[in-house]
Amino acid sequence: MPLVEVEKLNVWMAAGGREVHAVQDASLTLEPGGQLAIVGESGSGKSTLLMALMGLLPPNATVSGRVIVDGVDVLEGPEQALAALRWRTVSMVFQASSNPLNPVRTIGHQLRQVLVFHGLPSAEARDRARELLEMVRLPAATEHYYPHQLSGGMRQRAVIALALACRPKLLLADEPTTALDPIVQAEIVELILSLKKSLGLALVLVSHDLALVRRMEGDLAVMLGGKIVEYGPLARLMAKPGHEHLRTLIAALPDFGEAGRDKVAAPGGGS
Amino acid sequence: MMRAQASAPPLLELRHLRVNFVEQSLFGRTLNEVSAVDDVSIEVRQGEIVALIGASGSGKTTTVRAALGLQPVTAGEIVFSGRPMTGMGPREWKDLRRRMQLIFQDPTEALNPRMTVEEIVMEGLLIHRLGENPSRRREMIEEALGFVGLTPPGHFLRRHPHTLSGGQRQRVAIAAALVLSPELLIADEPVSMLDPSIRAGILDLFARLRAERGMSTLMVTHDLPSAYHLADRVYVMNRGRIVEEGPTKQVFRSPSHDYTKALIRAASGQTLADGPVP
Amino acid sequence: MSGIIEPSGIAVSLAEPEPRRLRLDAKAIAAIVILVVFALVALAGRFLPLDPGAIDVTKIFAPPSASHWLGHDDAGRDVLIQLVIGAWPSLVVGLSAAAVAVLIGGTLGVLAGYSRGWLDLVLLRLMDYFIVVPALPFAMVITAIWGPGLGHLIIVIGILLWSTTARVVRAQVKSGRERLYVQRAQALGAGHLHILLRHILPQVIPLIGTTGSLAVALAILTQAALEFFGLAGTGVLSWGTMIRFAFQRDAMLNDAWWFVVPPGLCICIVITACYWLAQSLEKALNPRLSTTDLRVRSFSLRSAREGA
Repeated sequence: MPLVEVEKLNVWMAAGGREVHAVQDASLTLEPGGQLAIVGESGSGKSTLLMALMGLLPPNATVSGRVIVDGVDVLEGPEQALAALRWRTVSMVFQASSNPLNPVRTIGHQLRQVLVFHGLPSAEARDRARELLEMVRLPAATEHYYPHQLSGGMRQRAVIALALACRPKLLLADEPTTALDPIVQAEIVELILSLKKSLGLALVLVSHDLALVRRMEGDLAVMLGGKIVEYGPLARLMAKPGHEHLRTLIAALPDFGEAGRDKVAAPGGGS
Repeated sequence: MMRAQASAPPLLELRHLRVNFVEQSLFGRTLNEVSAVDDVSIEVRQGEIVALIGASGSGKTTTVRAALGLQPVTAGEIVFSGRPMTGMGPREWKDLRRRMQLIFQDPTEALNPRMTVEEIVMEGLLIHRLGENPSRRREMIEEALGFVGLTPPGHFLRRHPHTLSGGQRQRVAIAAALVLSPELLIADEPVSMLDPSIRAGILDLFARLRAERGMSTLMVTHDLPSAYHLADRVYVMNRGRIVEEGPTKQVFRSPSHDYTKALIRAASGQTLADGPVP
Repeated sequence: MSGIIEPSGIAVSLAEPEPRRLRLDAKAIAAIVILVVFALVALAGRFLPLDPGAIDVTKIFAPPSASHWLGHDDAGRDVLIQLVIGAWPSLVVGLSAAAVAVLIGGTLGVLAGYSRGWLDLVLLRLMDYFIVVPALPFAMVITAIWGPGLGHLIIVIGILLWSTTARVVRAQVKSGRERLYVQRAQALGAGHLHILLRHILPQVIPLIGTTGSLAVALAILTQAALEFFGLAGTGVLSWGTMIRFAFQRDAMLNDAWWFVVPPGLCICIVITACYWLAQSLEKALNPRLSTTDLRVRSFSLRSAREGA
């Protein structure tokens, strides 16, 4: 049975008297331990789709279709099941700049708080918190630090540790590296991929940056204007892109070889 | 395309620039001193596009703020068009801030949301008292908007920034710089907040400005592809120092400094040296 | 034209970054209606030939009746007429004192917020001192020196209230001058005056609306208190002095509630309206204050229809 099943999902957002069809007839599946990259530009509906997987849509949203995550009907099932699904089965890593950490608590405190809230005795929570920091390759002393004392990359590692606290089966990452430096970006993606492998997580990674996700395995969904315009195994699509939009994205990938030289400068520079 | 000559005179020279951030007590006693920019020398020649590459916190932005006199300099010299700016008064600095225009990373934040496109582009004209009368100013504004591809200009004049897309906003910011006929553009991460498909169009503007108007550009960025495609020369900055400089192709082909190598590997989607744990 | 590649129309921004038009809710409209009604009443009291001094010895503490809706006071004077006439000084002093407070507070707040360093520090200390000045003793001292009078009352209340406005404005200016578009203006070569007028003041003026309406409420309240203690002089008939007279002339001992309650109620209503106005202005300017939704599922379902 697939872990995630999205069938003909539609999301409409009401804004200022208009209605935007933010996600149009999206269908996806993800097996346990699988990987899915969703690539699209701002406004393409990729974040809305991701939020729908957790049932985290705003009050101005109306939806139709079916979203089943780990056997729970996210859109229509009982609310308790949905509440239990969040964080325990599915957890989420947001954009680096959104910074979901509490500024006045140490990293260790925040980790333990989550663990205790989800029913771990405090002594065990202490050990588990250390284990989590080690997993995301943060020094043990990070426990005693406040978020502002960490660099952007370290903060994002702490956020990942927090997301993994309850041993979820599915990790959703929404632009997890935007606003970070290129080297730190690569490190964070590598960390997520290696954790995915060692913990057997299923992973959905949303990004506007094809360069970032092209090292992933599994499936790729390309969104444009609310529609999934391309969906299939990532390796196959990268080799044989069908849709024009994906072809443009692939053409824009950084390539520091001879061939790439005049790709950007050409259009207006020739005259 | 007009290529910068190695012999072209330097337009902007930063010589051994040093900027320390000083934390002072109420009575002027120095509590803490942090070096943000350490002995940085950068040269931009006429008609040249130069990229300053580095991670955030490496001192890139502080360097360009210092070049415009927006950040006090601890040591070193800023020379524009052969003229040292050290000891210059407010009038000379104001004139410099017409000839050297800064374009910010985030066009959403850099444009006052309460002003219309026309007011935004006109602001510089009013500050520097350019354009003899309203109709001449209107002409200059429309010309600038036209050049950056916001056509027909009349369609955009009365709009507010929030009704424009991110790329259009950045075009407005560039038009607001161009209307002052500067000699040098300093673009601080001009495309990093924009969607990839829009980036090329904005970068193309800088290439066209150089081709058609001989405009020099100093582009500050951590986006390696844009530096690679646009710049004649690059400087790589790390922890406040220039660690590598040279012609773009040469630096990207055979980077000599470890930091540059790591940057290039990260940007081209290769695994980093330490690699993922199996 | 070198093509703009952006597919215009696809990227519809769902959240408009800054709402241009102020949308007022029911509370604000109610508040405005109340304030307008009171203003009309005050104008009527000022310009209609009403005589609050007309004494009718047969009607001492006469209860409300069909011809005299709010009854009579200890000297047989009509309370309703007093109330109408008292509205003008109450509102004028409230508004003027608030204007004084906002003017002083706004100017010093902008000055403190825009200047970094010692001037900011000095002004901030000054604000701190004025926030803790106890209202009544201060007013007593001032009236003892200057003598009572409406003008003095306005200045005293203005001095008591400016520091609140100043603090709020200072904070806004401080964060406002860090905005990127202010830095951009600096990089364009703009001077301080240009930045203040073009970029800082437009951010501050909406704030003046909220702190201003709060200041009006506080000014009316302070005024009533000062008048009750006889610090406003005796020549003027206002709501505060009405309550004072009622208290002095044993209205409560005579069960003449109609002498005390109406002016008190008027003060309450006007103050409440001002608070409502301030609240909804705040909400309209700061929509993020009201976006809490703790339901597990806040979106709504739409029955499946044919996909587009």
